[in-house]
Amino acid sequence: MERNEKIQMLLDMQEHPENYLEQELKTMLEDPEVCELMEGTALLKQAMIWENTRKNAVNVDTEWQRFAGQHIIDSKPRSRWLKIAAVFLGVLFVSGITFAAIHIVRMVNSQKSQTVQTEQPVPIKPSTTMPVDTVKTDTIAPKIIRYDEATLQKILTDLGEYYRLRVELRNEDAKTLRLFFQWNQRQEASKVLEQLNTFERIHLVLNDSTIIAE
Amino acid sequence: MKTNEIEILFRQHYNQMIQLARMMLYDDEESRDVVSEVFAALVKTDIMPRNVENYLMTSVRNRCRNLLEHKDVRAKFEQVYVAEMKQGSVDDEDNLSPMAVERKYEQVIAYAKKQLTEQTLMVFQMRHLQGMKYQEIAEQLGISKVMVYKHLTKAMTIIKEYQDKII
Repeated sequence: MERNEKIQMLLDMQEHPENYLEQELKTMLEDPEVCELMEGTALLKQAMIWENTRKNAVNVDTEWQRFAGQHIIDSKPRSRWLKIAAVFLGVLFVSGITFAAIHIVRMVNSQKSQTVQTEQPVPIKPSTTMPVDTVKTDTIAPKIIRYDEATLQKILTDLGEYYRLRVELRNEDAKTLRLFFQWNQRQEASKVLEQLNTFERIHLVLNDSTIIAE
Repeated sequence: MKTNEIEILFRQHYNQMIQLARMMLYDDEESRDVVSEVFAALVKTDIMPRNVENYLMTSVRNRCRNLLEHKDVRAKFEQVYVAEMKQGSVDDEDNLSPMAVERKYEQVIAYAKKQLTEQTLMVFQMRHLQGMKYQEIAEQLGISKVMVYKHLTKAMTIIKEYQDKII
């Protein structure tokens, strides 16, 4: 076969290798002249890639960040763990405040209150002998509600109903964000929102009669 | 190895390593993976290789060869993989200094630019660097498919001439 014929066949094989049997391709590769033609093509291809790479330098910073994020445990993941730890500390902090509040109420009432871990808020049995200064003027006694992995939307809806406030969710995340939270209904709405704002990713504003999740 | 040691090596050698991988695999994603794997192996070890640069480049080359060996013969034709061939140009670089490699490619490019028309070089790039089909190239450049064959034939002949001259 003449060189030109070989080139034509090689070009066709490169374009449509699926049209040839594996054995035909292997036989072609065993031909020294075809081998040289392939190597020549590869040489020019490599030289062009080399030239392009030289002109368009790689951003090593970006590549390092990508690598560190995937393979080095103590670079990016550490900050993620720190964030998680911060959320838990926030939960502990808020829980600590509410636990102290429960404890005081217990001391005053000398009555056990009960909390159940469930997404559905379970009211703690209200005291029947609550001192006058802790009882609201309305007929419903304040409770401590414990939320276990409840959505922020659910918590805010409950807050809205209790404090008679409208709820406006401007942030889509607020609908799905789940958290552990204890709500002491004795506290004013602004105080409860302040506690919720200690969580990362939550930003709540009380504007007139509306709770806004931004 | 410590993170800061790996970062220094990464910043020093990444460009050279990715370039080698690209020239062997012709694929950006695969090349990135290969270089990442080499550094990932360093993360797991406490031993600093004696000749770091040599170790990194050899590791890239070996991993690329390993990948190429597993490509089927059709892919070898389509992509013109040559690493496992007897006189594969990338293989030869084992014994070449970076300066010599640079000179080698500069000479190839210079020869090609001198002997081939801009359109032939364009057709070659479209086919081999961008992976376009002959029909697509013809349509994009407004030429016939036969002309695409002619340009590629010319490119192959000229490079063969160049190889014959330098040997």
